[in-house]
Amino acid sequence: MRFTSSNAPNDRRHAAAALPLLSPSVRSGVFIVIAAFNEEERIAETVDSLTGASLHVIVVDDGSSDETASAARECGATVLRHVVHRGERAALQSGVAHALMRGASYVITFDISGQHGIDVIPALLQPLIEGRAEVVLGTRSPTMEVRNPLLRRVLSPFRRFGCLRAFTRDAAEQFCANDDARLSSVEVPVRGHHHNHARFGGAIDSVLDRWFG
Amino acid sequence: MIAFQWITVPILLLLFVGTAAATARHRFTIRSGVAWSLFWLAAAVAIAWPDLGRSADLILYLVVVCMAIGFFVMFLRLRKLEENLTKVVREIALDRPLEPRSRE
Repeated sequence: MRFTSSNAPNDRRHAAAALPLLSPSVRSGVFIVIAAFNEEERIAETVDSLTGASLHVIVVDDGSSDETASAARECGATVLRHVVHRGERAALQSGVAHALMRGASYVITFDISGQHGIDVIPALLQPLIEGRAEVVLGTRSPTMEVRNPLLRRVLSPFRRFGCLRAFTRDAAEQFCANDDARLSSVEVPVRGHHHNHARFGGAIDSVLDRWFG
Repeated sequence: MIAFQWITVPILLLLFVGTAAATARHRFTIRSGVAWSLFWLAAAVAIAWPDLGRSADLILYLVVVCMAIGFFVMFLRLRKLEENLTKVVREIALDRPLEPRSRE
C-alpha cells in the first residue's frame, strides 16, 4: 500500500507542508484519534504522515494480538490499549476521552485504512473553526445529503468513508457520552484512495461495528 | 391419564421441586423463585386435569410469552454487561497511556 504523493505524502517535510492553512495555535489543539485492531502491517504509514505534520496522534489498540501498539509508538503516537476488543466506536471514544484530558480543542477521528491523506484535515476543521457546525463528517457522496437524523444514522455506514469525523471540544464530550445524535453537523467531500483491503472489508467492518459492535 | 400426561406432569413437578429447592438455597431471588415455582405447579395441574378447559394451550401460550420476556430481559442484561465491560476496559486504557517511543 502506498499513498500517492498528491494526497498523502509519506515524507515528513511534505507532510508538514500539506497543512499550510492551520496556524500553529490551531494545530497545537488538534488531536487525531485512530482506532486500530491488528493493524501492525499498515499503521506506520498513516501515523507517520500525521506525526510528521506535528499533529498529536492517539492510537487506540483495540485488543490487537499483534504488535500494533509498538508500531504506533515507534511512529510517535500515544497509544491506549484496550485489553479486550470492544469495537470501533468504543475505541474511538476512549481515544477522544484521552484527547480531551490532554486539552484538545478539536478532535479528528481518522481512518487507518490509508484511504485518506492528511490533506483532508483542513477541510474537516474549517467548518468547526468558522463555527458552522459542531461535527464534520467526511463523506464520499456529499450530493446525497440526508437531513433526517435517524435516517442519516441508519445510512451512515454506507455513505461515509470509515470513521473520518471532526469534533469541537464540546461535541467530542457529547460523543464520549453517547449523546451526539443531535449535534449540528455538515458533510464535506473527501476523496479516497481505493485499496483492495479497504474497499469491501472496511465497509463491512464499519457496518458490523456500528450495528453489532 | 394418557401417556402425554404421564410424561409431562412428572417433569413439571421435578422442575417445581428443583426451582423451589434452588430458591431455598438462594440460587434465585425469592420473587423469581416463587414465580417460577408457581408457574411449574400451575402447568402440572393444568395438564393433569385438562377438564379445567383448554389449560394446556393456555400454558403453552404463557410459556411462549414468558420466554419472549426472558429473552428480552437477558438481552437488556447482556447489553448492560457489555457497557460495563467497555467502561472497565476504557478506565484501564486511560489509566495507562503508552507515550511515544523515539526511533532515534
